[in-house]
Amino acid sequence: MRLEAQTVFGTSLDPAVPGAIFTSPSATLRERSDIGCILLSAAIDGNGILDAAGEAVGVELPATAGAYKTQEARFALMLSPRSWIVQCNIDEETALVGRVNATFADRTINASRFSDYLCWFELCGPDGTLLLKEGGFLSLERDGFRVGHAKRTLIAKVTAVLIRLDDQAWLIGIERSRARYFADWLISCACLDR
Amino acid sequence: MTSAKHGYRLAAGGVIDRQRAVSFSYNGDHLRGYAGDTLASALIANGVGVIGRSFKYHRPRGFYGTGMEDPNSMLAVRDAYGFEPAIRAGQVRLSEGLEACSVTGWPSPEFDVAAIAQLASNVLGAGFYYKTMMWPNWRLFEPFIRRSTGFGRLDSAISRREMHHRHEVADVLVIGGGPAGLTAARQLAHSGLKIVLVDDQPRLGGALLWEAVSFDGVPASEWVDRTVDALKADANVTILTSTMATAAYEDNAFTLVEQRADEHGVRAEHHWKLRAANVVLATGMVDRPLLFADNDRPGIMLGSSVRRLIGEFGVAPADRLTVYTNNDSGYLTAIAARKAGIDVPVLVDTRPQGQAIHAAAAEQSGVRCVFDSQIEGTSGYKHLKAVTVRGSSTVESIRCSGLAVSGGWTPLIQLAGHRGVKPVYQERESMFVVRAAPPGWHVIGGAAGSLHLTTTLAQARAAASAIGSDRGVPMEQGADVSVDCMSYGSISPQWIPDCGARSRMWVDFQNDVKVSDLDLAARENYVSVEHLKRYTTLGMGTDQGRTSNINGLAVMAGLTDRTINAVGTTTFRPPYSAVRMGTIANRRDGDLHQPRRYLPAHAIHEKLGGVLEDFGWERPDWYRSNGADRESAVEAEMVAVRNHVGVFDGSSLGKIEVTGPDAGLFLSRFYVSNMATLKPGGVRYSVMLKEDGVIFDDGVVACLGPNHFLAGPTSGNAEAVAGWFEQWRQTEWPTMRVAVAPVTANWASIAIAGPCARDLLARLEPDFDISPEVFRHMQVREGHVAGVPARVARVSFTGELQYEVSVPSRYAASLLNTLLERGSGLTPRAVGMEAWLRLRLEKGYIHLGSDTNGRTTPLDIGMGGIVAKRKDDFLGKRSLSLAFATSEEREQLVGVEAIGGTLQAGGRILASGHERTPCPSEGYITSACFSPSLGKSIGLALVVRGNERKGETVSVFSDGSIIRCRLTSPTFYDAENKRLNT
Repeated sequence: MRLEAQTVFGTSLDPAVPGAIFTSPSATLRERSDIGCILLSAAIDGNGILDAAGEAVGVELPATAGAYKTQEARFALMLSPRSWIVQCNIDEETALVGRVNATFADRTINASRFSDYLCWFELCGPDGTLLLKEGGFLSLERDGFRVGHAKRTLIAKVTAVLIRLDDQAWLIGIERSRARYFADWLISCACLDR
Repeated sequence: MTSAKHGYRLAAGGVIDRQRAVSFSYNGDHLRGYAGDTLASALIANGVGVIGRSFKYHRPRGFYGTGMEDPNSMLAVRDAYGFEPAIRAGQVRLSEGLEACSVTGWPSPEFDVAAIAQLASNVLGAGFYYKTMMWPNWRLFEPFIRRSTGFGRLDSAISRREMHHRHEVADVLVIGGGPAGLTAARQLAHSGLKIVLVDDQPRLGGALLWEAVSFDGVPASEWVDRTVDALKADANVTILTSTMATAAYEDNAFTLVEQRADEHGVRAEHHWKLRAANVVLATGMVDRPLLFADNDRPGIMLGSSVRRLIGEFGVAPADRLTVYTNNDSGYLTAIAARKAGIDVPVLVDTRPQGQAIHAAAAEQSGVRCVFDSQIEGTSGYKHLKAVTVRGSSTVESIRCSGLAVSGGWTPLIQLAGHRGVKPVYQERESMFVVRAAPPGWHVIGGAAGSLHLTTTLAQARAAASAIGSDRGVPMEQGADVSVDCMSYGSISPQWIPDCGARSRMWVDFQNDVKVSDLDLAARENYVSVEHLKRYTTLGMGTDQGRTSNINGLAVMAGLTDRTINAVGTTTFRPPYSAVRMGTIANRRDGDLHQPRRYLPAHAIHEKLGGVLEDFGWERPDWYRSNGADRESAVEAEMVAVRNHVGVFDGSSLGKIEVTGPDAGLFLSRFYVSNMATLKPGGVRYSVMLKEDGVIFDDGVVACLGPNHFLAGPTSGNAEAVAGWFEQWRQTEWPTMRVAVAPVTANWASIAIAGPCARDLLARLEPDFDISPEVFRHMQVREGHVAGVPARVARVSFTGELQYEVSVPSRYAASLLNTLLERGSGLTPRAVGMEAWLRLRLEKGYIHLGSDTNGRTTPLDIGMGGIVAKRKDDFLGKRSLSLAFATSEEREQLVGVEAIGGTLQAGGRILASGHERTPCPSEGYITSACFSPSLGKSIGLALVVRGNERKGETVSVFSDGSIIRCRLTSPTFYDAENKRLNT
């Protein structure tokens, strides 16, 4: 017996079949249900533990805000000085959690299952950035939110993890229960006449 | 003159598009204007004189200005996209089919019945309503006063305007697209800096659109076009026209409202939130009125507005125009009027001839100038007919239909005021200016009190250079340009005239505040500028005193022998200009009003006929599949739990992983119970308090393994509790080795409750032993259920055998389906919130927020024993020993049984000895329901000294009637806990 998995929007779990939630000439919104992740939480400060934790998850953990690191299929971004999200293939979540928690048996660093916490959206198109800016400041930096950066911020009153993949592509992680609201909000923005 | 205009429209001139006629209506009359007109200019061109009525005396009011400084021209306006209940005519660009109507005066502004109030003007002085209408009761008069207030008409039509929100960061924000702002922006352009230039008009240029100016021998309009082209060539420059900077906040954060219009009206509004490193404030200034008797008649207008009407819109405000001034800009008005073919019989200057630098030029254009003179009064009612001029030895009456006044200038520095800047009075120019600008700001041009264009341009270049060097960027050196224009010259202020009745001199045209009112305020010691404002209502109208404040406080200074600086200005607060609520709200209405939270199995609940309600999350209150109506469905759901098994979606319950070597100790500091002693596999219920000892949250904590805990706060508090943990960890206990990870949405939790719950759980094939001897009440297991990772807690909120099965949220729908479908023979039933809450009420378990309030401590809900046992410290412990917490008069939680009638939550418990209301109350019913298991109406209540009153009969006032009840133990069902321990 095994329960069936279902994504937030009912799209396929197969990454080869990306389901678009919304498409227009200027923006496309997709659910990326193939992305899994774990949450690393450190009980102590110090860069000393980062190396060991990075080794356990297979990707260097960034030590500065805004930066992300990638290594093969892994992707790590810093949420706070003591917490990181590590993206992985959804099937690897269990093994990755087990590996970290075995490495840190005293839970100095704890790995939590997190694949189901965030719903990942991919927003592409020339108007993508403009749509997000309807919901809040993406960055208060002069150079804005540069490609290759990631952060956690508020968009449309909802906490979002933003990753800028390129000029016209964003990966957005939204807490699962609010994902449908966020998509509705984004679609309502996209439907406006620009 | 007649040959020079069509109606009041001049035959030539202005920057309007005379090829594009625009039809509109005003109070039902069909009129025509041109593209580029404002509603104000079009109405004046069509000869509309009386545009409204004043607030108190209902005096006729005409156009006094052409922009947002105008205190008089509030109208209701409808275009193809929306309706504005009240907006100044000068702020509305004319669009095809626009409908405008008056908002003051009944039945019309021309004939207003309420104008009879003028007869009582002698008794309607400042603050009359504070002194009168006290007898017999203010409430008697209040409805009438309320009906007579307000400027605007409401309309139920839904706006079709699109609202956008924009959030941007810039290096430099230039506010104002006149000569100062354009020069600064032009010099900063192409330097690599991100520049945003905003102007409230659809066309850049500011006063250059109407003043007679040339740069290097070419008309100012060409210079403007060239400058704008150069700005547009820089991709780093964003030009926002028709955009009002409405507010300035800390860290140079601004709000802007941009209007995007087409030929049918304002199609969209963009509400910008913009943060800039540097700010150039180039907002210019506005003319000030002059005080004289009957200075409020329609036809009297600010001098700069007259020049704007002629220069920008090609409109004559009158066919015979007198000019009254105390400075040199009045001469510019007279000369411009003459050039437009308007008859100017006289220019009255309060100053001696020697100060008037443009007198010769005015006289050359055919204007007779009189000096050392004042206007003593005016005649006419709905339209100005004549003015009386008093010279040093003569008095003469001048027939005219218009009067242009200029009493000096007021720099528009409100945005700097939003940042806390206190303006300083500059004697020489008789104006308030910004002496100490906020960090990163440069105030230039008219906003800085500059009266000479050459100075303005030099200030702009200096500001740009300062910003460039501050930012370390190369910058094009702007060349000096040769400016040819007439200067605004100098001013000799005259605040209170020597002649004319003060009771006829209007300071605030909208609110009918006169010099005599200020006099009265001074006599009654309302001499502080803030008191003056509120007592007389000076500057409290929709124009926010743009034309009246300076005159008002100067008069007050004169009346109290103080300097104007000593009186000071009132406080400038955002927004500078009215902002529509809809613009601020954006799309936050309907389903998008607040972020809605959906359960991971939302679709299944809908399929089961769940009636969803917003409990912070969209949760099923009851299921249509269980009954035709709420009561029958809820009863069926309760019966299912008591007799076989119910399935309840508790996914919204908080889940916070607390990990690390100090995790147990950390949690113990929050909960009343000692969580440090919790062993792996154990679960403990407790409450947590704020520092004042009042219950903040309750829930269970599970120990999943060494140094690994899972706290389960309530659904509504899950995020607040996580934040509470994190706040204390970071600020008070930074050395504790602990991490807090909120994971609520990651896990779907489905509770199965009832005598058959274990059998149903077994059908999910858990990979751990669930036999009652091994998996006991208040224990937790991690493993696999139905082939997927799961955490199963044996806890009970219903009083029955109950398991909470948590699986990753992606399996929620499948788990719920499986439980309901695989339960054949066990007859599982989906259970909604209402039944769940009634089941816990039967058991006597509290529901946070219902059975607790902002005063309830653990001592009040029967947890005194646990508190007493704790030797070590926890948050709120100290407060529990204070007198307020240990008082014998506290409300304590008890059960209530109705002896007759039906209990309802909120019912008040009458004080002992009282059987009728009104009377003192000794508590209230916190939860109530009819219990199918017990066959009676039961409830919980917070009652004064409740613990010692069990068994007592009390009266409860509920829903209009009084019923008798008995106070009992809160536990109505299975007091021995046999069922949940089964």
